[in-house]
Amino acid sequence: MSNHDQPIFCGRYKHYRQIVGIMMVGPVTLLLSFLLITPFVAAAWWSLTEGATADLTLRNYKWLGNPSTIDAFLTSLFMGIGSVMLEIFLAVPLAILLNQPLPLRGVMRAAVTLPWAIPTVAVAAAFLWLSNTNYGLFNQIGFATGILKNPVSLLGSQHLALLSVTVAHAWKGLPLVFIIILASLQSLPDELLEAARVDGAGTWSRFRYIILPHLKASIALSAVLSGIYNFSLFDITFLLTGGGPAGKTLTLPLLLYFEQFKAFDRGHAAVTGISIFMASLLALILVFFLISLDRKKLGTKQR
Amino acid sequence: MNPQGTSGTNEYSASSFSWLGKGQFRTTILTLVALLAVFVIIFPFFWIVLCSFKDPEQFLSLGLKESLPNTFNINSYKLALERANLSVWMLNSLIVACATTLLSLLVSTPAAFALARIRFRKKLFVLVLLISYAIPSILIVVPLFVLLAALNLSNSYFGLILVHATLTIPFSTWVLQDFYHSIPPDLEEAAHMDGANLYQVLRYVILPLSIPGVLAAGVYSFILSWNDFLFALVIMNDAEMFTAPVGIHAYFTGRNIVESVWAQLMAATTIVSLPSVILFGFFQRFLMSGFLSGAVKG
Repeated sequence: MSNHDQPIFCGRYKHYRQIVGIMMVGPVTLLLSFLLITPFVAAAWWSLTEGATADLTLRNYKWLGNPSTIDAFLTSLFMGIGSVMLEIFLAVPLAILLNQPLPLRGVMRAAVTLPWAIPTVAVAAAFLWLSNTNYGLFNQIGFATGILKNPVSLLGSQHLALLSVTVAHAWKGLPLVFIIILASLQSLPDELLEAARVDGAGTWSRFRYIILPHLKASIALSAVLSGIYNFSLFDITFLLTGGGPAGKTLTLPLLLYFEQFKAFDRGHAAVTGISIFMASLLALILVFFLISLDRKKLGTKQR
Repeated sequence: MNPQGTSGTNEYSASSFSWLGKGQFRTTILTLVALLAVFVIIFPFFWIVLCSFKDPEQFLSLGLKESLPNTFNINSYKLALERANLSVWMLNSLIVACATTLLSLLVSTPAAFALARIRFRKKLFVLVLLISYAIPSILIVVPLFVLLAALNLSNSYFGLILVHATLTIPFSTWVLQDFYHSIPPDLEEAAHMDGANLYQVLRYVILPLSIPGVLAAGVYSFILSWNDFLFALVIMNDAEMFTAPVGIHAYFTGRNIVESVWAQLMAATTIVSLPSVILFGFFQRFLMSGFLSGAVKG
């Protein structure tokens, strides 16, 4: 909230302003508290109670310590961190490239952000079809070029399924990271790079000592936002593998869904949801702490 | 023409932010690299669109040559629309997405204006907004399902619209309030001096100016609601009420995947993607700036 704006009606009629303001934000507040905060409180309550009797219990939290639950957590963690690393490694060079004065730059930027707009069912259909064991393009190309001797089942094999699903997440999440990094690049003054060039800095040192430090904060921000999002994302994994093969891609969101709609254990589902939220919150706090620590260090250096 | 471009006199050399270097040769190479990368990124989508025009009777083929699309055949679309009940699901999706957009804009526009322009006690509201940003969808889906069932709203348009609006409102409000901050307050003050009341200021000064922001928030809401899978899956239980993504999922899972079914899947997913992709194409610029101010959810 910036303070330099002068709201209208800032002089007289204090109560009038209060009433008008509350009337204008009222509907949103009511809707959000009713449909977001009530369910959140309900989930927290259910995670602490025994299904039928509503007695307080820690049974659900003890269940979190099960090896299968911990496995699901690790799978989610792999998916979240892996997809974000892929996104960053792709988005940084792409953003630098598409920040150059190239012909068709606008169209190419739009194309890079397109995956955001594509429905998850279509994403899933595309990846399922491309990776089809017998007829998919990946296997066809592998056979035609002689790289593959036997068909590879990218989504069906125990070793590759998690990796393939992670790649699908990265594909869907790339636009967000790309936009944040591109915007940060555009705020880098050209004079800085020009000065470095005059001083004899090569392409690599300009990247390493000017661009990368400038991007650090936005990389951290986009990584944590996208990581949390992918960590708690349900639909891509559900549509691609449904948690299989042999539970290799069973993430926490899928576990929640199956606990609720297959095992009908509301307490387990609720506690899974709460743990997803807590883990996300922890990651968020950690990253903001690291960013502020970094800022402080820089500050003392400059002084 | 100087292919090596060492003199740096091409049309772009005036712009100093080409830190990778100057010259026509470099520009050409970089453009090619960028085009290749972009092609790889849009390829999965491009591929389903291409494959949807293959002949559904000869969809599956074992050789690479035959598997590349070489026909322009719309039979897959016919099959998808006839057999898969796709038109009903598309209509459901359209109703839900349009209503979500409308509801979301209707409540978030005044809220955003109040947040940006009216001085009143709004701490509680900002808190609610921030909390709703932080809550992941998967955590609230089950309680929401129970809540809607208790209100007799599960499996209804209205229930799903409410839920989708809850997803889009925090973002819409945030984008719009950021947008209102960018409108100079002098305009309102001038109108106010001329004797306009709050309603008139809103109607004749603010509303016309806020069209770009409202468009971004609206398109965002529409795409999010149209693409949603999780909430539609949980809330819509009746095959007649499915939205397009859930309908496609229900129709194609567990089906013995034969040639014509794969072809139908390609056609159906292309159709479902079209509204989002077209809207995104038209409003991409507005959306980008919205993303940056909205800190992005979805």
